[in-house]
Amino acid sequence: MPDDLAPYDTPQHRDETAVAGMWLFLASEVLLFGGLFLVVLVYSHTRRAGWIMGVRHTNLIIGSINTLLLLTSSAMYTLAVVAARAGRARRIIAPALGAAGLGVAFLGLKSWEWHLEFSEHLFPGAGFSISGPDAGGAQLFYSFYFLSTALHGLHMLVGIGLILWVCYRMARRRGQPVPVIPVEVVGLYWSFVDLVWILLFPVLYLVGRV
Amino acid sequence: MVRVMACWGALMVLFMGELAIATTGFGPGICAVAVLMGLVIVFGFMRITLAPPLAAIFALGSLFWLAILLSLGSLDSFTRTNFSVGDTLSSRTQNAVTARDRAP
Repeated sequence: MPDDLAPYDTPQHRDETAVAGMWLFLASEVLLFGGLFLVVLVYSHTRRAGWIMGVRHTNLIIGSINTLLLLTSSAMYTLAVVAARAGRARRIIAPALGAAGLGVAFLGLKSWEWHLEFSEHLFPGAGFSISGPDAGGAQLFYSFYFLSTALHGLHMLVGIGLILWVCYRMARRRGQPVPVIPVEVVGLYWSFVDLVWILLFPVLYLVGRV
Repeated sequence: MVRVMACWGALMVLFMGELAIATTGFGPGICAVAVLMGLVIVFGFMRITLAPPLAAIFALGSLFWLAILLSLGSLDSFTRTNFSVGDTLSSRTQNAVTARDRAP
């Protein structure tokens, strides 16, 4: 066993361990977000009228544009992963930067959406703008809304940082063999962030709107 | 590259379908399309089929624990029967306020 590979037997063993490790991390993330979806399951059932009232106040246009941005961003980064697997270093940076740019656009739009919601007094607490007998359920919805979008936004920030790190590494290693695994592992994370949004979007914007 | 673009196209079609179903208010249909989109990402972008077997075990394990979390966590609220107070649990005699109940 070469010393630089320790504790792995072969480069393939090392790479497979890195990919499996990322999947294990993503499995823990599934349970983290799973707790949030449990909140949806329980309160959209027990406080249905108020919950639906909250869904109807969300901005579907911004949510839809953000979904399109994130789906496209995930596809772009996957192009970078494909290029890395093919050993084409020059084709990694451009799509990766495009993916990060779309991620920044997502966060910009989400920040604008939050701004609109704060100005409409939709943040739970004193002065909440939705009133009536079901206002409590609507406040529960908006508690979930702000918590879940903040947690997802935090993951987006980390993902954008990782993509920029990959781009920096690729730019510094021009002319050398392409390290596939960092590109691939960051791709797994970025696609997972996209996956979480795909499941959050219908819960926040669609189910109960009509 | 063709595969990635095909997956992106499929996601766009599914997303439009999701929005179309949302106009009918059919919640289970919306959720089904969202799950389909998730599968496109897991199989098309994340390439779970090319990952080492251990990764597939981790992925399936996470779904298993997620199922336990959601089913046990929501069991109470989905099986509880709520009785409105006043119809069955209270009556004039049971809730009669006596002098001892009043604060001095």
